[in-house]
Amino acid sequence: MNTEQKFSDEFLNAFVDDQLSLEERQQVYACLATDDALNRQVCELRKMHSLVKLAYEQPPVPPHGLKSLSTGRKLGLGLAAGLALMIGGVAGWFLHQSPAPVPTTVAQAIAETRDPTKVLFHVSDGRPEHLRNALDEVEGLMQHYRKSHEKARVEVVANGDGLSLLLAGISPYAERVRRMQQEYPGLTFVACQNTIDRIRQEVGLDVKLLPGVEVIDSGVAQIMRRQQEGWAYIQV
Amino acid sequence: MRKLFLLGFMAVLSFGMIQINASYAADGDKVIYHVNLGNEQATDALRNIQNHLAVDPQAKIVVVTHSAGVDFLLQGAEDKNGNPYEGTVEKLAAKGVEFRVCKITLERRHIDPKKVIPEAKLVPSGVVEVTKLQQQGYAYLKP
Repeated sequence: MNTEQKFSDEFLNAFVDDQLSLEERQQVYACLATDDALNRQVCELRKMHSLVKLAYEQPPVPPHGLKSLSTGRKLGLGLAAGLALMIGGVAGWFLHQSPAPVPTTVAQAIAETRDPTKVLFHVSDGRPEHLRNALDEVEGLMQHYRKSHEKARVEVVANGDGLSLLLAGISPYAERVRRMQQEYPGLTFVACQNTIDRIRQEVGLDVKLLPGVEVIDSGVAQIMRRQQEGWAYIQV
Repeated sequence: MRKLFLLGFMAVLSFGMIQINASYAADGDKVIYHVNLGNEQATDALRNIQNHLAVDPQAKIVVVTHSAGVDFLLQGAEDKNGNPYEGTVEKLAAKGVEFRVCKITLERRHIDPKKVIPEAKLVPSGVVEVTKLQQQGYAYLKP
């Protein structure tokens, strides 16, 4: 320390921290040129200031991710995530049971892209009034879904006595079947091969099907397959 | 540590699943009785339903009727022995059985909707109703 202290410690600290005005700094510089002791003092002060700065530098940023979290925090996060998922799942479950469609063009467009409603009608009774009723019900359903702009995929499976609906020269409703096939693209009439074979064996008759009628191996097997695929089943 | 996270997640998820399953078990089986052929079939159906409830009182039963199947739900309807249907239907309705009548059938057969007994509810289309209920998880029975 110099005996004649021209500048207070406070003043010199301010000098080192560049907090003095231009004139004040010039005063110090003028003295530094001749005063060795002052030089040493200022040097010491600068060194001390550097050390303090180093000690108070920003600490390093901790790494991100779960590893740095405490156990309790992680469990809490897990529970929160699970709860969020459960809420989402339950909400989705309830929202999935949607109400009747609103008749707007947007709703129509959405309905067009949805999976079609799938229904299998089972006809096993060959009496003409029963067949007529069956066709009435099928057509009623197709018209309902058309009106509500919903796609419907409908299969009419005929077996046993019901096969007469689909036989050329025998069916009382050949013309109606043809018209319905044209009118409703989602509708197919299907005949049971087992019944066709049985008629041939028992009556000796080789039946001829109406045009556009498809054939599957077994009516009851088809009914079971379709239900397993999520089709609704109606026996008319 | 990651295991703890997963454990917490699975615990909440399974808890949720158990709650959902528990609610289904408590509600019982859901089943449609499809009646469309006439009073003889209706009589069989009512008997089947009483037997069904005797074995499974929690069963949720919905009777969907159309075509000739609506007749037993009209006022004054009687079976072949002259017994009115309404009494039996009332008792079953009191146990939670629902009866639904197809509006298209009423229009087609020129039946006044007011003739349908109060225990039955009208629906736009019987076959659409049968389809919708199956989409909601109902089993299908044809008596």
